[in-house]
Amino acid sequence: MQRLIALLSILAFTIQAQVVTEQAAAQNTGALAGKEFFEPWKPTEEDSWDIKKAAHLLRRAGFGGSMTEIKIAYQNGLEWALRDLIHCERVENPMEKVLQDVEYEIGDMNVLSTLQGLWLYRMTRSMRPLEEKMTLFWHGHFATSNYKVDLPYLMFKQNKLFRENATGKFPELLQAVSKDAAMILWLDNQTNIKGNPNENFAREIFELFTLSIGNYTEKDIQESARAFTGWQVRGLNFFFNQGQHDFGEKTVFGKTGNWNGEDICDMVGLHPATAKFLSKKLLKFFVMEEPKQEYIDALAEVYLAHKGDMKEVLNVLFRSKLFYSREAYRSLVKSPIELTVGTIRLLNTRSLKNLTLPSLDKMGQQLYNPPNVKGWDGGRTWINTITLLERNNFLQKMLMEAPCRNPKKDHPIFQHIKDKEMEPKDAVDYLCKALIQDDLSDNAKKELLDYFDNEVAETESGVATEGYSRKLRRIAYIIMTSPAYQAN
Amino acid sequence: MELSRREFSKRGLLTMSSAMVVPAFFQRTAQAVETASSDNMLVLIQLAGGNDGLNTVIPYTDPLYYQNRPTLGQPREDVLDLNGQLGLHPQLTGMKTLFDENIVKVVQALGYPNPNRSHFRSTDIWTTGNPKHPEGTGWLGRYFDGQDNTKHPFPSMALGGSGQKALKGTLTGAPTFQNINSFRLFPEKGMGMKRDADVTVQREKDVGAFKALHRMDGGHFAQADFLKDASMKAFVSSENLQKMVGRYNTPVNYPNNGLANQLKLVGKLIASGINTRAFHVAIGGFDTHSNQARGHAARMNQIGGSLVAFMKDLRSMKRAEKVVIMTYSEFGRRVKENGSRGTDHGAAAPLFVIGEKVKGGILGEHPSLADLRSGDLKYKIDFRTVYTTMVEQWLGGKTDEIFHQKFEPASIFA
Repeated sequence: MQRLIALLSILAFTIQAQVVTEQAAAQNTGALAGKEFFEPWKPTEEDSWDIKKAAHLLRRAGFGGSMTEIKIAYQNGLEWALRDLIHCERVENPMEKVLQDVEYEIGDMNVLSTLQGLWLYRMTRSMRPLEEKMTLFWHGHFATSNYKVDLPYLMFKQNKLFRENATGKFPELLQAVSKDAAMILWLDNQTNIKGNPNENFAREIFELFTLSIGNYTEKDIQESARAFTGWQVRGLNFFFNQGQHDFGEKTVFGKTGNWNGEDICDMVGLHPATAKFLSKKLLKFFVMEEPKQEYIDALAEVYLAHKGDMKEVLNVLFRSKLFYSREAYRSLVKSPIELTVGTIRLLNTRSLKNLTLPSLDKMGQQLYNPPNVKGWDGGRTWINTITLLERNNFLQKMLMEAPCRNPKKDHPIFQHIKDKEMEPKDAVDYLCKALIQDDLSDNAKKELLDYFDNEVAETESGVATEGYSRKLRRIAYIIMTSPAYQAN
Repeated sequence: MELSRREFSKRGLLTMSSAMVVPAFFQRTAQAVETASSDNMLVLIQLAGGNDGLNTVIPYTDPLYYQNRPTLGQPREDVLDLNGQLGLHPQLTGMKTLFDENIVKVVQALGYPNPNRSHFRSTDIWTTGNPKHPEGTGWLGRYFDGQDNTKHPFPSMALGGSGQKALKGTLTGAPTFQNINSFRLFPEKGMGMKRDADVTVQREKDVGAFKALHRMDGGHFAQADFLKDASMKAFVSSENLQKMVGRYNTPVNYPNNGLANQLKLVGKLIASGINTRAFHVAIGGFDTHSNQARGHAARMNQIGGSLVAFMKDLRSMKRAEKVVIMTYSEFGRRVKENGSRGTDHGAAAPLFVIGEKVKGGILGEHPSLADLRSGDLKYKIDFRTVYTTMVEQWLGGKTDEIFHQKFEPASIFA
C-alpha cells in the first residue's frame, strides 16, 4: 500500500512537471534556449508574422504548402501552425489505415520501386509533414542503402522505425537503429563475432551517427566492436547470438566493464560531441547551409538540456529568432525530394511514380539508396548543370503532364486565376505570390508581365481555353526556374 | 553561316563564335571550351555480358586450346596472327589493322582477386573499381569529383550501357545522351504545342523570357546569386552543346551497327569542341551460353569495323592524338566449352587499349590453360592497374582518392 502511494505521488509529480514544462514551452523557453539565436522570435511592427514567414515554416518543417495551407497558417498564427506540426501525433492521418492495408496485403514490399512510390505518396499526402520530413532526415543521417542490403522489405522496416521515432528521443532511436536488421547487414555486423570482431559497425556509429571524427580513439572502436559481437540478423529480425558475443571486460572512453551494444549506445547518445554533431546536421537541414559555430554550440545546449528529445529541440528551433532571421530566409537549396514533393503539394497533382522516380535518380536523390553511409551532402551540391537541366525539365513535365487530382478542374492555382477571370497583371501577380511568395525583383516581375502580354494578344476571349491554360503553365514554369523556387 | 570542313578545322570554334554577335556569357563559355578540348579524352567501350577473351585473343599454338574448344576453337589458318603464338579472332580484322599500325595494346589476363561470376556484381566491381565494396561511386566519377570542373559543364557523357555507373561520382554525373534534342532547357516538344513551326516560335519566346528574368537580380535572399548563376550556366552550356554538335558532319562511312552509331556520335561530340573528357558506350550480347560461334563472330566484326571507322574520323578531325579507347568486360568465360556449343561465366580476360599515343604491342602473358582456378583462367594483372595508368598517365591526376591503394601503372603508353 505504501509503495502504491509512493508510486502514485511520483506519477502525480511527473504529470505536474509535465504540465509545467508544457506551459513553459508554450510561453517561451527562455532559460533553456541558450544564446539569443534560439530565443523565441516575437513579431514587431517592422518584422511581423506574414505570408512569407508562414510559407517559410511550412517549407522547412515539411514540404511546403498550397496557397490555402499557407494562408491558413498565416491567419492562425505561429503558435497554431507550430502546434500541429510538432505534435503530429495529435493529427489524424486519414490515409494511414489504407496505406497500411496496401503495405501488408497488396503491395509487393520486396520491390524497391513500390517502396519508393509509397513513401513518396506519404510525403505528398501526409497531414503530418514534419513527421515525414524527420523520417527523411533520419534516412539521410543513418544512411543505409538497399544497394548492399538487397532486401527492400528490410529497408521498409527501417523506414517505419524512423517514422515511429521521427520526433522522439535520439538516444532511444539510436538503440533501436543499432538493432535494425538493415543496419546490421549494411554495416557488416552480421560477421562481427567473438574472437574476430568486425569494426565497421562501431566505427560508423561513432564517426557518422553520433560523436563524429576526433572524439574517440581507435581503441574505443576496437573495444566497442567487441560489445556489438553476436548482434545479428536471423530471417528478417534482430537476433542476439549469445554464442558469438564477447562477454568479456572492455574499456571504452576510459570506463571498464562488461559492456554490450546497449551500453555503448547509452554512452554516446547524450555525449556533448553527439549533441554538437547532430545540432550541426539539424541546422544544415532546417536552417542554413553554413551555420556558425556559435549557433551549433547553442543548439547543442538545447539538445542536452532536453536529453535529446527531438520534439523539444525542434520546438525551440522553429520558433527561434535565428529561424526567422534574414540570414535563414531562402538560404537552403531544395533537395530533389523537396523540389518534387513540394511541387506536387503546391499544385495538388497526382504523384506519378513513373514520372518522379527516374527524375529523382537523375537529380541525385534516390530514396532508400543514398550513395554511401555518409548520406547526401546536400546544399549547393544538389546543383550542377546536369541536375539543373533535370530539375527544370521535371518541373515542365509536372506542369504539362501530371494529372489534376480533381479531373473536372485545373490545378487549384490555375483554376483560381480562371475563376476570377484575372487580368494579366493580376494573374502574374498571383502566380508570383503562390509559387514564390513574391521573392523576385520588381524588374523581373515586369519582364514576366511583358511576356504574358505578349501571349494574351493571341488568346480568344474565353479565358478557359486550352491555350490559356497552357499559357499560364508556361509562365508558371518560367517562375519555377527562377532562383527563388529552386531555393528553400 | 556555312563553313567548309577545312575551314572548320583550321579556324576552330573560337574564331567562328567571336565573329557572330552573341551575348557576352556565350562568348566566354565558347572561349573556355576551345582551350579545354585540348585535354585528353577516354572512350570506354563496355562489352556487356562477359566477352569470351579466350576466343578473342587466341593462344592458337597451345594444344589445350583446341582440346577445350572442340567446336568453338578457331582454325589455326583463320586466326589473325599477332606474334607467332597469339592471334586475334578471324573476324577482328579491324583490330588487326590497327594493331599493325602499332596503336593497339593488348593487355592480357586482367581480373581481380576472388573473381565473381555474377553479371551485376562483377560489372559493379569493374565500374566502381572496388572489388571488396562495389557499391557507390564509379572510378571515373571519383576522378572527376577531384578535378576542377568549372570549365567542364559535362566532364563525362554516357551514350549507353549499364557500366556508365563508372562515370557517376558524388558531385558529378554523366548525362545519358541518346538524344541531343532532349538535352536542353525547354525541350522543344515539351509545352503542348502541336505544329512544329509553333514549337520553335514558342520556344524562342520562352527562352527570351527565361533570359530576361535571369538578367534581373535574383532577389534578396541568401542563395539568390548562386542559383541564378548556376541556372544561366546550365542554360548556356546546353544551348552551346546543341549549336556546336549540330555543325559537324563526318566524312567517314561508319558501318551501320550499334557500336558504330555510338562511336559516330562520340566523334560528333569530340569534333564540336566540347570539353567532355570521358565517354561511355556499350554493346551487349556477349553472354554466349549456347551456340556462341555466330553471335560472337558478328560482335568481333562489329568491334573491328567500328574502331577502324572511328579512328579514321578522329584522324580526319585531327583529334586522334587526344583520344584513347579502352574496351572492358565484366569477366571472361570458362576455358572448356559447355554442352551447348557455348561457354559459361569465367574470370580473367584480355582488354584492348587503342590510340595514337598508345605504344602498340602485347602486355602480359597469356594465362595458363592448365593451371586453372575452378576451370577459369587465373588473372595476372589487376584491372585497377590499367585504370591507374589511365588516370595518372592519360587524364592526369592522382589515384589516392580513387582506389585507396597504390597500383603501379601498366606499360601502355611507353
